[in-house]
This record gives sequence, structure tokens and C-alpha cells, in this order.
Amino acid sequence: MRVLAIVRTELIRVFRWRANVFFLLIMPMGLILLLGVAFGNSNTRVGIVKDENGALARQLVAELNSQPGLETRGYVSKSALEKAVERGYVSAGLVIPNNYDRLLRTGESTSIDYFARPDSLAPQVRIAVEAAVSAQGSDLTAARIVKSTQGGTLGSALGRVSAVKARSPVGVRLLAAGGGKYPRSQGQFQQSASTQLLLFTFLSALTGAVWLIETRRLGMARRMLSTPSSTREIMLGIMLGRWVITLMQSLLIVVFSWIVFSVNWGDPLGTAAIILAFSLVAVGAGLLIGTLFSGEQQAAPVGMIIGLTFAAIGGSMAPLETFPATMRTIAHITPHAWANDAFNTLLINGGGLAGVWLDVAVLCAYALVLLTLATWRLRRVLTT
Amino acid sequence: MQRAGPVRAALLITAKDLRQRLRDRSALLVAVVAPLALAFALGVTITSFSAGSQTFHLGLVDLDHGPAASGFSRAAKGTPVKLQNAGTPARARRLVKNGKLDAAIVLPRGLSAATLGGTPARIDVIGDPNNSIGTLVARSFADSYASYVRTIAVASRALGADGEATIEVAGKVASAKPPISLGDVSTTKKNLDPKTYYAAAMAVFFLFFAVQFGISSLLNERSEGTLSRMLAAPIPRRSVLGGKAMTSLALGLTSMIVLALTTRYALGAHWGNPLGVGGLIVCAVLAATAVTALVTTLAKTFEQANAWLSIVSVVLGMLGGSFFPVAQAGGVLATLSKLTPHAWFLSGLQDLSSGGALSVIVEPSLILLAIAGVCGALALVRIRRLVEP
Repeated sequence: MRVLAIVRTELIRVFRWRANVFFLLIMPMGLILLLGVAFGNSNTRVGIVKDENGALARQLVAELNSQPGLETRGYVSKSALEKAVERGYVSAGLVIPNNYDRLLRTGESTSIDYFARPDSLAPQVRIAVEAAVSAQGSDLTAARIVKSTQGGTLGSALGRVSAVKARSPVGVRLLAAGGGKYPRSQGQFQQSASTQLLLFTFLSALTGAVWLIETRRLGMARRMLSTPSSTREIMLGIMLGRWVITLMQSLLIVVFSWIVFSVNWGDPLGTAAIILAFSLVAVGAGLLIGTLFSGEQQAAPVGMIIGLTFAAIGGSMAPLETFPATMRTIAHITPHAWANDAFNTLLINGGGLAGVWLDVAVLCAYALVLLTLATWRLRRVLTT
Repeated sequence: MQRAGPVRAALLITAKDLRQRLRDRSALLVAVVAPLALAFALGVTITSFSAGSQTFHLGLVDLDHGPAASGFSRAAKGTPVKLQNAGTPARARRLVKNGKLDAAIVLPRGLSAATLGGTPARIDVIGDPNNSIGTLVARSFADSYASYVRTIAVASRALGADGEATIEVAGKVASAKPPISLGDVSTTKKNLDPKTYYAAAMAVFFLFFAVQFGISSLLNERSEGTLSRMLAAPIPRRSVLGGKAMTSLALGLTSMIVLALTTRYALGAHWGNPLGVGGLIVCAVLAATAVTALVTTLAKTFEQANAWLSIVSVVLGMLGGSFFPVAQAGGVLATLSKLTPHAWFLSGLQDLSSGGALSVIVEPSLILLAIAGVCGALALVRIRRLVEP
């Protein structure tokens, strides 16, 4: 009972302070929204200047938009497009010349100016654009062969070719390497929800170290010790209090993102296991920082530094799959990387608890080490 | 005892504040360690908008044993795709799953026959959902082949060709000059490399925290009673305010300069023309100090001011692109982004580092100064309230 009283006090202290509602809940939801809107749609943008509006030009744009992973954005002039490519607003740009339809219809070849950015997305974009161009070229090439074999005009050959309306006798099917069908593309907020959950629960638990220091500075710890509660009960109360706050935060993020952004959290058992284990790691780290520093002025920035740096290295700011290989290995120093891996297994590959047990076990090991250290330090700072 | 002049009094207050902040190391942590640690962490992990070409290793499983496979190898020439034989579909799956291959393409039995008018066939692309880019590349690659086969089928049907004639058509398609080609126009990159971007972004993000040690400590001094004591001394109020403002400016400037130099020499960030960088830094520090002063004057207590300042700094930083290049997202977000000092500071640096003349900083500097002017004026109107005895 005494333990619960301490837990209750901790909760009251945290939620009485309005700004905490912002940092615990509004901030993560805001970021999930921001990231979802800005980057959730993982399509690569290709800028287009369409100097004419002929049927073939329109068909090319439609062909580009139908490429998986590509979407187009219109620009009015070549210079506006070039600027957008240089600034990285689009990954590549195409200028469809004003005589595009006429040239192609008279059997000439045409060249589309292609502006690429010298960056790592460039090859992917180029290959996808080539696929769209070759899809458009299909009818034209066929018509040219018809014309060269049978004579007549290119116009009549094109007419005969388009009358065929054949689909390719060769289809393409996507399969997942792990077996089964390749998952459909994720919802817009899917990726940001789990990564931001980890970033913010860890960050809040670490900056929560400040509360522990305040508990000591205001003499609350001494007053609790003067009651018939044992040190063990007090420590348990403090730890449980922090854990409950972290779990509440996680739960609210899960529920809100599920309701508001329709985020799919996958297998409930798997997600629960990850969140329980990760929140213990966060609480352990937060308590340890709270016992290693004696002033809020140091603990708060140190908590923020570690919280944000670990999130960055652990794949909560940019997905681990985009990291260079060595960095991906180094990333696994952080608990975030293990938890992000586990969420990927659940949310992208549709796995269950059985697929994430190793990641969860590693997280539990982290939690065990951190909580042991924190308990040892906490006993010292509370009793001396 | 000689009475201190108003300027000297202000300087004394600044010196006292700076000593205090240095002694408890909080200024060092917030203004130098935090931005450096994050600039480093983000610089080494975020490469998605960095330079450098990438090769995609795609596995090829040839169950067809016909000419189709060599068609694929030909198509891969001159592209960043490297094809390698992956043996069986099971092995290909394993290699993709282990990350040894970016994706794999399985050419089914009878593909070459399908190409020449036989029964339709289906190419399987094996991809790892965690490597979506590799999967897309393999898929686009297979799609291009499907288009090629379609061309043969369409031409053959239009010509009413079958059997031997189809082979002839296929030969013509293979050797046909593509009607549409892509003419590459090289562009320069006018955005900062990740190292520089995050060095600058973190510097300006934490600048908003660093300047808080000045102005907002007025509220702390008031609640602890040291402000009344200062006001009881023969010091004009403007000296107290000036001293606090100078603490903000001094911490902000020092932080930015130390960060620019450290990231330049230790991380290899390219900040650009020092004169232009210096100008942008001064304007950004003024803007940050003014925004902080305004928020401080709206708060009632030190704790409230701290909370509001943290919220304002974090929101402005996020929208301004400190953590993610928001401007690249376009739309409403890009517009909102332009309301933040962060975005203007970063875009000024961007133009400067891509070799622009010094004049490129005029617009961002003027906007930063305008933000400083408006917020500073509003703060001045309200701030006297803080130093009422």
C-alpha cells in the first residue's frame, strides 16, 4: 500500500505540471503527424515540365505516376524545375519538349531532358523513369516495326498497333523474401508512429530524471524515509511510479495514433512485449541519470543529449535500413535499434511474438543491467 | 565608493551570469556538448540525402535457360544494377533475407518461349520489405523487360506473325533504337551535405536553449529575491535588462562560433564564406534572443517561462527543419517552415555553401532581423513589468 501511495504522488506531481502533457503526449503526436505528412508517403517525387499537352505527353506522365514508388509534381518552367532538383524538393526532373507528340508521331526520336541529383536515390529514380519510358516506347517501337515491314504511314501503323491492346505476355509478381506475398505499402503514419513512440518514451524517461533530483532537493526523500516505509518500499515506489508514467505515455501514443492516424500496431502480444521491455530500459536509464547528477541543470541537458542521440543512432530519426552497413551494426549499441528491429518484424513483415523474442530478450537484458545499477545508486543517494 | 556607470553595471551583471552558468556547466552542456553530440550522431547516420552513387546487387535465378537471361544482363549494362547468379529460388530468398542481395529476379521456365508468343509466363521479384528501394529497382527492371516482351507481342499480332516470323520481329525489337531517350542534364546540388546540414541545424536548434540562460533568468532572480536587491542598488533598470540581454547574446554568439569552428575542423562540415556565415550567425542570435525575450515576458513564473520556452524552441526547431529537411516536403509544411528563424538561417547557409555570392545572405538576414525587430519591440513593451520592484 505504501508503495502505491508513492506511485500516486509521483503521478500527481508529473501531471499537475501542464507542460508535461505537452511533452508526454502532444509533442509525439505532433511529430507523428509532421513526419507522416512530410515523409510518410515514401514515394519519390519527380518534377515534370510539360511543354505540351499532347496525348503522348499525358500518357508518359500517367505512366510515370503508375510506377511503384514514383509520383510526379508539375513545374511551370525549366528553371523552376532545376531549382527544385538542386534544392532536393524533387529527386529528379523531366522536361517533356514542346514537339514531343509531333516528333514521335512522325517517326522521329526524341530526347527528354533528365535532371538528376547526385545523391543515393538517383539510380533508383533513373531506373523507374526508364521503365516508364520503355512502357511508352512499346507501342511506338511496335508501330515502327509494322511500318518498316509492311510499309504505309506511321500513323496507320500506330492505329493498328493500338487496336491490338495487348498486355504483356510476361507478368511481374512481387514476393517477400521471408515467404508469402510482398506486403502492400504501409500507411502514411505507420513508420513514424513506432519510431516516435520509442524516441519520446525514452526521452521523457531520461528528462524525468529531473523529478528524482527534485524529490531529493525538496527533502521529500528524507521525509519518506522518516515514515515507517522501508528504503526498499520507497525505491520500489519511485521506480514503479516512473514505469507507470512511461507505460501510460506509450499506451496513449498507441491508442491515439491507432484512432487518429489508423496506425496498425500489429500483433498485440508482440507490441506489448516490446513496449514493456523498452519502457523498463527507459526507466532504468532515467533513474540512473537521476542518481548520477545532483543538480537539475546538469541532469536535464544530459538526459536530452542521451535521449536524442540514442534515438538518432538507433534509427528513430532516420530508418535503420538507410544507414551505412557499419553504422547499422554500431546502431545496435542502443536499445532503440533492437526495439525498432522488433517493430519492423511486427509491423512490416507481419510477424508475431515468436519473431521478436530475441529483440525483447536483449531489451530485458539492458533493463536488468540499468535497473540494477540504478537501484544500487538510488539506495546510496537516498540513504546518505 | 565609486558608483558604477549604467554600462559597467550591465557588464557586471553579464559577467556574473556567465560565471554562474559556466560553473554549473549547464551552459557548456546545452550550448556546446548537446549540439555537437547530435550533429555527430545525425551526420553519421543520415545519408539518405547525401551524395554518392549506389550499386544494387540483384540476384538472377534462371529457370528458363533460354536467351531471356542474356537480355537481362544486356539491360543491366550501364546501369547501377549488378546482376549475379543466385542459383535456386530458395537460395535467392535466403540471400535477400540476409541482406546479401538487394532483391532477386526469378526468370521462370518458358520465359523465352513466352517472349516469342508461347504461353504467358510470370517473372517473380523477391524483395525484402525492409529494403524497399532495392525491391523497387528489381521491379522496375523486370517491368522494363515485360514492356520489351509486350512490344514483340504487339508487333507480331499487328503483323499477324507467328512462329519463325515472331523470332524475326523479336530481333527487330531488340535492335530497334528506342524512340524516346533520356538526355542527362547534370545539376549541382544546392543543399548542404548531411554533416554540414546537421551541424548548422543543431547549432541553431540549441541556440534557442542557450539564449534562455540570459533573459529568462530575470524571472528566477525575481523569485529568489536577488532581483529586488539589484533594483535596490543604484543601478538603472535598463542596465539590469541590458545585462541580461547581453548574457543571452554572448552565450548565443559563443555557442554558434564554437560550433561552427568545431564542426568545420573536427567533423569536416562546409559552412561556406566566413563573412557570410558570421553575418547569418549574428542575425540568428538576435532573432533567438528576441523570441526568447518575448516568450519570457508572457510567462508569470520562471518554471512557466522554462516550459513555454522549451515548447516554443522545440516546435520552431521541428518546423524549421532542425531534425528533418521539412522544406523538401513541400505544401503547407514548407510554408509553415518559412515562419521559423531556423528555416531562414539554414536556407541562407545553403545558398552560401553552394558558392553563392555574399549577396545571397541579404534576404535571410533581413528576415531574421525583422523577426528580431518585431519580437524584440513587443518584448520591450512588456518587459518593464518584469523589473518593477
